Amino acid sequence: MHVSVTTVKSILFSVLFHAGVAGLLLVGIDNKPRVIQKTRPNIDIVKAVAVDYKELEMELQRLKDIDDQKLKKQQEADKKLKATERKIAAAEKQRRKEQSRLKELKNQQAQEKKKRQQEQKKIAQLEKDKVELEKQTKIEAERKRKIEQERKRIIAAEKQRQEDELKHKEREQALKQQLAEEQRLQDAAQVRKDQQLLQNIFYNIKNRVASNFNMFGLPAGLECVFTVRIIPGGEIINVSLNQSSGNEIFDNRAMVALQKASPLPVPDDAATLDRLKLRQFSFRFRPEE
Amino acid sequence: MKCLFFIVLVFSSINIYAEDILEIIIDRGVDNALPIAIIPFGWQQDTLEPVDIGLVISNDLARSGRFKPMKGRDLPQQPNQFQQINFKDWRLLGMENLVIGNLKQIDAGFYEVEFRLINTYNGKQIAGFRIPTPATQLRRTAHRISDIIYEKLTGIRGAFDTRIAYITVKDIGQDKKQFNLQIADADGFNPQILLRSEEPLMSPAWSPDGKRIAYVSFESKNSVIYVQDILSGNRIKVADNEGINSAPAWSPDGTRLAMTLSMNGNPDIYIMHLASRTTQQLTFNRAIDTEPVWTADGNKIAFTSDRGGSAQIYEISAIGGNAKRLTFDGSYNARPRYSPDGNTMAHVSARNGNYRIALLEINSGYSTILTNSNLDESPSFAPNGSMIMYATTTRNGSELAAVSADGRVHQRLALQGGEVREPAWGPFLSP
Repeated sequence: MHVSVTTVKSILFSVLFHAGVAGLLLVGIDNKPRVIQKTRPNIDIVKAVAVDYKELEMELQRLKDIDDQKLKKQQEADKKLKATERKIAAAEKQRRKEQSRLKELKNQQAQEKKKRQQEQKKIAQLEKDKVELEKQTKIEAERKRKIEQERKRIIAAEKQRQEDELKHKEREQALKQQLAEEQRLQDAAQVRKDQQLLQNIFYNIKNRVASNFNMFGLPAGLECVFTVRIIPGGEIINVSLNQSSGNEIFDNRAMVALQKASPLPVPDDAATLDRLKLRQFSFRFRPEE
Repeated sequence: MKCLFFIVLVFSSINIYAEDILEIIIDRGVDNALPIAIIPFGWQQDTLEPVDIGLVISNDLARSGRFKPMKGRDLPQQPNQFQQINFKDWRLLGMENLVIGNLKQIDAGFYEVEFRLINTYNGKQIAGFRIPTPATQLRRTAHRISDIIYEKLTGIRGAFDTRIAYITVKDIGQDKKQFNLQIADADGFNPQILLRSEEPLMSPAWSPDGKRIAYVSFESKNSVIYVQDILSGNRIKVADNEGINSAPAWSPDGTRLAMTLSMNGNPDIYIMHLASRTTQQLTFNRAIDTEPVWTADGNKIAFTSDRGGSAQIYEISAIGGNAKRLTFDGSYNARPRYSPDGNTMAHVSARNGNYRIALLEINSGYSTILTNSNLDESPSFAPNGSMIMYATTTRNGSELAAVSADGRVHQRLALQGGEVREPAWGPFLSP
């Protein structure tokens, strides 16, 4: 703390002066109307002398003047003291003010320093972040680039693959068509053969069943449907009624007709039977008027 | 998503099924007699059985022309119980219908007849009954069983448990003839003479309840109409007017008789209320109106009339009115008999000098000739409408015959020596 010389001087003077005043007070008299216990030098009262009144008055006046002078001096000294005190007080005030201002300033400074420090920190952090962000951006960009590269690569590869596949398909297609054409011709021939065969088979089956279907006494207009399952050789292994005519006797006659017609006249081998889909078929009994 | 997949799966399997099932249409068949094997009924006693139930049934079914019972000697087995049946063996013979049964004596004069009708292709029993029967009714029980079998296998009610009435004429020498009014079972068994006369008997007619017979008798030299109670033999004279009293015909409710009376000048149709014996004239025509017959609902009466110049069949309301002509084919159509269902009418029709039994389809007016002989008369429907009994004249004289309503089955009923005429088929017998 920087203390000014004037200040020091003042202080010193003040101290001294106070000491003087205090001493004065100890010995001097006060002009204020108050009872003061004055201590005088030891005078023996018994030893009374006739005094010149005037000399007494003049001594009293001299003493009063001395007192007055002393008082004046004291007053002046008081005034000065007061003034100095005031100065001191003022200076003190000032000093205090300055001290506090200083403190404030110091606080402010400290705060500002803190603020600055913080801001610097922030800045430093921001700088850091910026750097980091830049780094990330770079990485991201790199990644994207790589992805893009990959995508392009894949597209190219896919395109190539499709082209290859297409070529392959076309080749296959051509081959298939050729085979299909050959197969078609073969199948058509087989279908014709099969159709003829089926017609014959149905004709024979129908005759066999009809000749066993006894219609005596049955009312007209009835219709029922049975499904049969056969094994190679034509034996009927299952007869089931799909649709009843509503007349139990009619249904029974139809069932008996089927069972009496078993084994049905169908090819013996399983392969032909399967190809012609003859494992299972239906009979619709619907006698005409 | 799973749901959709499942639905698709189901539909595709239905599709496949529908696609792959071929269908053969059977649009015709045969009209053969149904094969049936009737096993002799079981009988546990040492004595001869009172009635061969199986044989009665077999004959009934054969006589109908619709069944072909297997001959006894051809039967491979003779089961009496369901468990004894070897179905496969019967199937191999093509015998889809099998009848087995037992006859048991319960008491003196009392029996129990048990039978089963079985389909050998599905191994199921079609019908089976246990019928307690007094000794005198055993044949009747057999006929009732025939009726059941007939109905179960054809859908048509059987008429084997019925009786017929007829007139027999026997030459008894010295230019005399004996006329009998007889009734018998439909198969000719148990003949019963209701009336014997030296003068002609004609036109037997069953009451609807089967308990009485009306007929015409010439015993008093004139034609007289009687009604006789079958059980008691008691009879009452119902029409004894001047002139012709003939052709009695019962109303379906049994309260009235239509008849031919000529008391007012020429033969006309009259209706008599039996309880009060009052008559009402129905036809008022100078021509000959005769041979009346009622419809099943009793609302109309058909009769023969020559009002058009030749004998034809007409129809009139039972409460009177205008007569409507029904027959147009041929110059002679007479002796009408409605079928039980009222859709057709049997009658005698002359074509090319031959008198045959014909069947008129009433709605269309179309007629079919059913018989193939020269002189047929007196058609009478079985109560189930499936057969028509009639009298046919052969070398031996008059005989009874029967033809199926579709004309396919022909039967001769050889009843006894002598001539048999004017058959009348009785109604269904009540149990």
